[in-house]
Amino acid sequence: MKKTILVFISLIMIFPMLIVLLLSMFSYYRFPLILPQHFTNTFWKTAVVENPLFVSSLANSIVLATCNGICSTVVGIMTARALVRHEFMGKRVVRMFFTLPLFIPAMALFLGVHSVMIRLQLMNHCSGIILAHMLISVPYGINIFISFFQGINRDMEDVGKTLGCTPITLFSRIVLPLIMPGIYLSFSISFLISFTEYFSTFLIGGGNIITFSTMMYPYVHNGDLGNGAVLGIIFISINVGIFYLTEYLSRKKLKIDSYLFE
Amino acid sequence: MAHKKIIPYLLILPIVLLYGVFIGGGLVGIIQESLGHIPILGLKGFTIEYYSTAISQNYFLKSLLYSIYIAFTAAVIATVLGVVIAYAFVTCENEMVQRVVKRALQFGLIIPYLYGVFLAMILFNQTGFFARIAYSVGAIGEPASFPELIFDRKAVGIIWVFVFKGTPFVSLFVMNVMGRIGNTYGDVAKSLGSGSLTILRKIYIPLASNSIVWASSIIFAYALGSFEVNYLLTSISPVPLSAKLYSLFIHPDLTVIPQTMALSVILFIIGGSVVGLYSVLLSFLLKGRI
Repeated sequence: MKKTILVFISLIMIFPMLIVLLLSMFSYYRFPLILPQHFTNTFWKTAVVENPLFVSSLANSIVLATCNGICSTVVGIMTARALVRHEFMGKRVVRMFFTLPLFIPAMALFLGVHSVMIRLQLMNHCSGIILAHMLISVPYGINIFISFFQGINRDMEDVGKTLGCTPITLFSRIVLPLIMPGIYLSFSISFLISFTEYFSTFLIGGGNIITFSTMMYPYVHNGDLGNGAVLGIIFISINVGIFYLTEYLSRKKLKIDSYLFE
Repeated sequence: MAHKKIIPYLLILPIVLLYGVFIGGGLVGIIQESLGHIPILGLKGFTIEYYSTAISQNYFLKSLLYSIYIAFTAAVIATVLGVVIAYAFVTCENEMVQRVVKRALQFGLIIPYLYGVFLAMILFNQTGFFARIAYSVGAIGEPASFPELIFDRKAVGIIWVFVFKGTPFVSLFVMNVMGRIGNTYGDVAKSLGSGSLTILRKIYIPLASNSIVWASSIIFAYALGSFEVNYLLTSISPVPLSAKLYSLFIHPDLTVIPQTMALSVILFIIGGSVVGLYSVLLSFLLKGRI
């Protein structure tokens, strides 16, 4: 019974993409037909090869997402470290409010961010977009690293300290290897958030900086099935690729898992 | 010793700056504009008349309630489905099935919302996939007799997108926590004669309640304030508040800006409070206390 439900759910998740895959390769789709017919590669040509924005938007997206991944991960490590290992004034406030951006309706949040960006003259700049994306990806990073830091056995750090580690060696030789899977995870989540984010990119980028998702918007809006399907497949394959890469990297590191969560 | 005390403050400096400048500063910025103080447009002085204008528009209450209806329905459906899937996953002993399901859920998680809109259009349109199936089995005679599922007043399309994207999020998140609970409690309950529904209700949900509330509230907040899904799949009337806000924002008449900002402050505050209320209610429902 449980197995049937689970398998059924997986089919529901996967099956829309199968239709999309067919739509990207077959052009004839009049009403009563259930599956499209007439094989063609025009959609791939028009959406990829003849599209002047394809390469630049993809490059923009990847650069922005990578920067966001790195920045969010670093801020996440710093904040989580402070929350788990240190005592300071206002700790309760930080602990309560670090997930705040996820609970404010995105429209209101980004209209506010937009007005700040104008004042700081970050409009139409990549740095503005990265900062806006960081707002919604840092909370996930902090959450990940809080559970990782809580899982590290404190004795290991203390042993390092008594043997004369400087704080830098302590971090690079003991803490960093232990939280490496968390770094991969946080990086990939931040990367995906930035890569798929449409509204803030378009609001702060002001049409100057075109990323993959802002490029895809008109195709979705106009209901352009063939080209939209092609772009979507490329989009999702990149996301799947990132996901698998992360999993592969963190599985290589899995042997240290036995030290974690004691 | 003194420099050691500084370390935690240095560590939290970036996040405080980030949140302070962009969330705090943003709120101050939109409040100032909503009070009618925009020197660059020649508007000076402070007044609350824009708030009363924004609230007295006849679409306001309708849009607000419509948004809350969408967010609430989507969050509840996604949470129930997500928790049930997570429970079935944790207690299912077949590793093959577990691996396949996890992959499928992760796949659902990484599909962008914008693309969810695209899928909704393909599937639920009056000439979409389900309409075609209904036609070929003879349930409908022409596309127009297929019920309107997107761009409709009941917002089925919008809710479907949020459920489609939200269910994997909730279930993957809750699954992680439920996986750590272990079999002991379940086995004891089973030997004392509990059915699986009782085990889910009395053991798994209370122990995972924090993460359920967290994940569900995020879905709720996202559905309340998301732009692309609400804007692209909305009916003509009523319009969700975030879509309405956007059409005011791009309005060519610059004098509506204070009113737009007033609406945005209202969405910020009311939206935030509704999300808070939702999570308090949910945790009360799951734990029996706050």
